[in-house]
Amino acid sequence: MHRVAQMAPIRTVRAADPPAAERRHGFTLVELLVVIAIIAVLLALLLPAVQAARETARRISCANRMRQLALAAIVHSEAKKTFPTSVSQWPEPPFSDDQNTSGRGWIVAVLPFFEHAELYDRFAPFFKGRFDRNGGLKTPRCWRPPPAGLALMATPMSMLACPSDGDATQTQTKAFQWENVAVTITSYKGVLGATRLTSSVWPRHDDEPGASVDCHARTGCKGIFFRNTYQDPVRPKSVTDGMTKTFMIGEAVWAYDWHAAAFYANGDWGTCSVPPNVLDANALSWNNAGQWQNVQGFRSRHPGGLQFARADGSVQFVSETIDMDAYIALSTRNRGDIGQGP
Amino acid sequence: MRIAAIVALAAATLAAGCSRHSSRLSGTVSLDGKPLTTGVITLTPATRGPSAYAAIGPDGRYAVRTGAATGLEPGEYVVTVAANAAAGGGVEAAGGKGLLPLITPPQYADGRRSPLRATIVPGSQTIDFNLQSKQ
Repeated sequence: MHRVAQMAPIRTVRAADPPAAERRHGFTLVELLVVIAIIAVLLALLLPAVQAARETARRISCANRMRQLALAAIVHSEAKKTFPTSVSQWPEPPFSDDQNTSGRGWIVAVLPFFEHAELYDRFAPFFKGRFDRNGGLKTPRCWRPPPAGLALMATPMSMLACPSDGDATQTQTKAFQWENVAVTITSYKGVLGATRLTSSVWPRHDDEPGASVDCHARTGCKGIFFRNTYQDPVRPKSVTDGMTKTFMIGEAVWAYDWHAAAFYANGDWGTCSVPPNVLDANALSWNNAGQWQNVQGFRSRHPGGLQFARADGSVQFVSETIDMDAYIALSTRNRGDIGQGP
Repeated sequence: MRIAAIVALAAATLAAGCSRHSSRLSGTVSLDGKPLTTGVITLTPATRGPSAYAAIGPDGRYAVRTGAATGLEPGEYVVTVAANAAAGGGVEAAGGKGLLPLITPPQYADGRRSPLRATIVPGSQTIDFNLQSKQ
């Protein structure tokens, strides 16, 4: 009896043990769901911050590459007394010498100034003659992959790819005048000024007086890089608006603008007559629809704006809400319009 | 329920964060009563400020943006419209030598001559623009 009385509590404790353990070490479904929900909410709050931090890192890397290119162009302008020149792929006025229309872009001309002299030397045989035959850049030997040729046009060049634009890190086969040919593309384009292609004319700007308003196929653009600069190279002393007040290089996004073959004179310029960051989804079809005149401006994947290198080598983030008059003023080197900082 | 409320609040905050402009503008652009199928509409402030634009869709509709962000700031704007002829002969012609001709009357592409104006007020608004090929 005494023994039984002694055993009973022990048995009771043993019987009660498993539920007590369950209460200590287990979770109910509701508790689990609440915890998961809290974690989900925290992640949802954290994710945009992480994405923003990653984009900031990409933007800084993007700015560094742009600055390297800008410094190379400036070193060129000091060594050769002119900014790097482009050679049009078509005979264009006032010259009509179609034996010298290789299509070599200004980016090729700066290669020796950012430690790619070897690549420059490989391009050099294609600097004379006509663009698509007889010695120019589109001479098959220059773009066909080995063993037929050198595939120089597809040479990878991470320095020209802004990490914020995933398309820029690979070769593309839709670049204008390079259809079905793999070419390296550039995220960085020279600023030709604010010439209006056939796009809208600005109410307060008449930057090319005369019957024909468009300078892009001629000389006399008021920026630093355009495809006929070989006819009349732009000298640093002609940047009369001031080096710090003149955009030299801006950003482009491949998906919106297929004029982007990196080493090519018709792929390496843009105009500030197009507002900054034209990223309307409807505009994605403009390359195909013949509206390229309306897209060959500057844009980026960075939220809120885009980056420009000025002629003094500084790189600045420019808000997409910049005053349009200021944007146009900054794009020209010699209009006497000193742009205000963004 | 509380979680749904939190999620809704987060979504609302996010949406509010995206809309940095206090006005919205959309509508249709047509030429002689027929909707345009392509082209660009640009709104330049009558005084100073950023330019707003829209790419005209295949149905003639447009929704204005300033840069990547939807909308624009209230104020007076000069409106210009430019659409180019579709290129024949594939992509080569699309980006090829020479500019494709305007299919819209040229005065509408010129901010100094365009008769189009828009007064943008805070909030959403719809403005249809009908261009006339004969003045």
